[in-house]
Amino acid sequence: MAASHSRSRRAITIGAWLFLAAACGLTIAARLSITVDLAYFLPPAATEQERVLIDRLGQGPGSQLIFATVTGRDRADVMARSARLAAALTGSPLFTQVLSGQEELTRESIPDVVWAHRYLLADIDADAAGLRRALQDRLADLAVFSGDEFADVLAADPMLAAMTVMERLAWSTESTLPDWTGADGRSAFLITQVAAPAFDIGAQAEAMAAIHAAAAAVDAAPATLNGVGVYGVELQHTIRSEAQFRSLLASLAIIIVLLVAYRRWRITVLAVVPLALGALAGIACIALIFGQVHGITLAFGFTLFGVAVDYPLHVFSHARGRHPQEAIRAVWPTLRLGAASTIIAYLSVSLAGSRGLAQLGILSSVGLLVAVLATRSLLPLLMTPATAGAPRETGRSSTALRPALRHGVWIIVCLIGGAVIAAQGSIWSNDLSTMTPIAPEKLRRDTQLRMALGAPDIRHLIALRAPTEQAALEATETLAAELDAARNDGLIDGYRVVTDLLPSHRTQLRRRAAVRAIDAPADIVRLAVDGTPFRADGFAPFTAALASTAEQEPLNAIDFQSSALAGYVDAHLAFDGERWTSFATLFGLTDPEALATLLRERYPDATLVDLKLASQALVLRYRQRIQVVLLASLALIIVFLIVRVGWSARLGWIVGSLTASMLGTIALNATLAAPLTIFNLIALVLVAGLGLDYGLFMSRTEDDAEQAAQTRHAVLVCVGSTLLAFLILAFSSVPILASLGTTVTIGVALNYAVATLGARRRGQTGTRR
Amino acid sequence: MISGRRTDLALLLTALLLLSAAGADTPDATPEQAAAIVGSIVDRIETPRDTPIPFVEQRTSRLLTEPLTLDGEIWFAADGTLSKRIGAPFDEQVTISARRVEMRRNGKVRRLSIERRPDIKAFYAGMQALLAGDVMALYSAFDVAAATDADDWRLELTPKDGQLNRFVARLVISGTGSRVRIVRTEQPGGDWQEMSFAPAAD
Repeated sequence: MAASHSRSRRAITIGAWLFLAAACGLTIAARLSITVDLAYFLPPAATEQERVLIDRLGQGPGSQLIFATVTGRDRADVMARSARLAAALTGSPLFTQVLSGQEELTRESIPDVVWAHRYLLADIDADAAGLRRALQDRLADLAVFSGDEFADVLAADPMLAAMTVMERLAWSTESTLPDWTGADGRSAFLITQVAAPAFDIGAQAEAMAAIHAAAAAVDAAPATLNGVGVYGVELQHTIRSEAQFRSLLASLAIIIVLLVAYRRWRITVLAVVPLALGALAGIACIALIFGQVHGITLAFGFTLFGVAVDYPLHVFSHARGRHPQEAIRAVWPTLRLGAASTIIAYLSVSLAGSRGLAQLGILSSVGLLVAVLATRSLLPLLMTPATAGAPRETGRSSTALRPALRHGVWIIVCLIGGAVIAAQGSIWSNDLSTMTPIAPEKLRRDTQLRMALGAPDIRHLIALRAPTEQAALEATETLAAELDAARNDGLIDGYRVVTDLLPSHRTQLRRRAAVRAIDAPADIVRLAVDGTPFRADGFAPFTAALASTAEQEPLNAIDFQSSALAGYVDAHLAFDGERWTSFATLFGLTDPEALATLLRERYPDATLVDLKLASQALVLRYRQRIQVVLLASLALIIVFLIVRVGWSARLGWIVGSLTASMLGTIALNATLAAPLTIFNLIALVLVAGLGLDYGLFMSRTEDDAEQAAQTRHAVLVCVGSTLLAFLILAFSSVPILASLGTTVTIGVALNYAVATLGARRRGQTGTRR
Repeated sequence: MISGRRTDLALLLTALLLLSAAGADTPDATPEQAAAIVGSIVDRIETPRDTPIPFVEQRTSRLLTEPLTLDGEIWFAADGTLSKRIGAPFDEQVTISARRVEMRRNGKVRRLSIERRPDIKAFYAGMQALLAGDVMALYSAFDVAAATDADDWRLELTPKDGQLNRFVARLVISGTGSRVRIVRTEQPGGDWQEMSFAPAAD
């Protein structure tokens, strides 16, 4: 009867877990999508500067640009190739702009919306004297330019209003015309502006594929691509293949360790069960709460709760010669303590202030909770008494074994670690680029290309906020007047603002009124042409344009949305659902301090934003917050342990050993590897979680020598598998994975060294009994 | 590079001597013969560097009642730039280099990439190759036809590049002996520009 009762309870438990797994799987499949938006891992902005920084991430000045380099025999050859490639890409919806530096100044080079509204977008002197002056200039132009295309433009727009607008938007300032060919004349550059933001890796990959395909089709292949989006795509590719390769290797290593330690296939398979259930539950939780999970959350989440693979190992090591339920009872109090403390630490990560870290904390703590519960309730049911092998010992001792805890070890390590950290000075990196895992040399190449092609300053921009679109545009026009003065003073070479393309309604209506005031456009042309070599009947398209201007409604930002200029508008004018922000991009800024002062004095509504300083401040504040949260969680864990374990020398030893290995890890990491980033800090949380487990098990009082040996065996297997897995990661070519691997490898080794050296068991050197 | 060209030209010159000995006026020359003629013409042209040469230029446009006539000086600097100083009917100076076009008028400067003006690019490429005696460059950018008649010669350059072709139908350069007399640019739409150089002061 008892046997059948326990059999049905077993069926119910296994059934319940299966149901949970299925429900989690369905939730994930139905709701979850993956994002790679870096903003997920940034905290809310505290200042206007940080707000601009976060807002402009991935769509800042020029971050949507892909620079294509084509090579060839000589200058003429490369220019021809780049022109063919530009022609092949122009008109693709993937790109808002394609420039090869060879765009002829023709009507076709001017977007329709600008051409149709040219007399709302640029000032003209719409009287006979003004037209006459313009025609004198055009005569001088005809001394240099020629051809029907130019005549077509002249006839419709003798003031060249449309070209004036386009020239205002051009890449180069007058003094810095870009060099479109490399110094040796064997390479030429092409600039494409991708419609999608830089962090949309899928769209960036599509754009890259389109460029490569077009290059092959017009005999301009191979094209070398550069740009923030390109690096993102390459990186995702590398990370994906690296992560697959490294995790396969790591899994193999863990399997080998488990096989060597337990010599049973079944054990190796069972070890995965709590981990898999935890992963499913954790991700399902994220799917329910957030709907979207960040790629980094997934990668780091799995890493963090990889500690859960240790839980079944403790059970297995203690199951030799015991019934599985008995083995659980032998490890459960310690396991529970370790898991609860680690869950506190992981949960604290979710308070660190960004959506990404909130996800990370929830994913790993929920995963851990479910894994430890599965270890407790499900694992013994799946184990048979034979699973862990035959008992090695028959007799049992009745004397409890208390380890001798040596406090000297952790004190010495603490002192050395602390001294190294103190000597090191700054051990933290405040560089936001450490958050984007793009290799520094790629970023340098990107900067070089931007400078060579006269792209705007990517470090500074001016931001100006207003409640409505029109208020933003009018304020921008005032700002532009101040920036003109700054340019005349030599503070900047040039600037670009949204009103270079889209003036305020006020300005557009003033221009329309001036055009409406013209009585008879044809008479003006006749008067202006008199006494010049121009034909009076050549300018019918111009008078027609004046007539249609008089009927036009002023343009809004939305009117550019389907044109090639959408990118320009978006880069300079943003609406966050509440307020409008206008951005001025700057060229040749030499003295930011002087410009900031000038703005403060003359136009305090506008802020000069230093994106680099803002990002450093942001990262610093972020890291300090994470540090505070982690220290608070450490304090909470200590309180929790005091409650559970009691105020004792053991507690002092556990906390001391943990502190020692953390200090030692930070010291070694900062000395041997690189300044620490936020991701190293997260890795340290894992090190702490593992260290706590080792400390708890190594310091606990055992029933007998057999059990003591089993505990040491379990800890050794845990250390061995973790060490191997993260050592493999430490050799990754992806910096972020390598730094994670390095930190955890150092940390685990130190954890183990401090714990074993610090806890010797009496009589251990003699017989096992 | 210069010495290499000289060697080529020495060969071409030999060919030319043979041809002139035959008294050839050769509109239907074989490609080899044409190349030889081109070489001879190119070699004959003297390239006065940094010496202003007076010119008169006529330029048509369908917007003008009659061709625009310009008076001025043109000169070629050692660094490869070509400058055109217009004195009448207005003052304007245009400087063309391999990369840009710069226009100065009424104290204002306008610069643009030469790649954006195919008409200027073709004119510059043709003149540059001719005056530098660079037969290879001439052939790589243009289909070349040539004819000579005693001391007079004539080159017809048709741009090979599809982009250039849309804007420039052909360049016709004619001269006498060592002197370039006329450079005429013809456009697909029927417009043309003709630059004539005054005879040398001697």
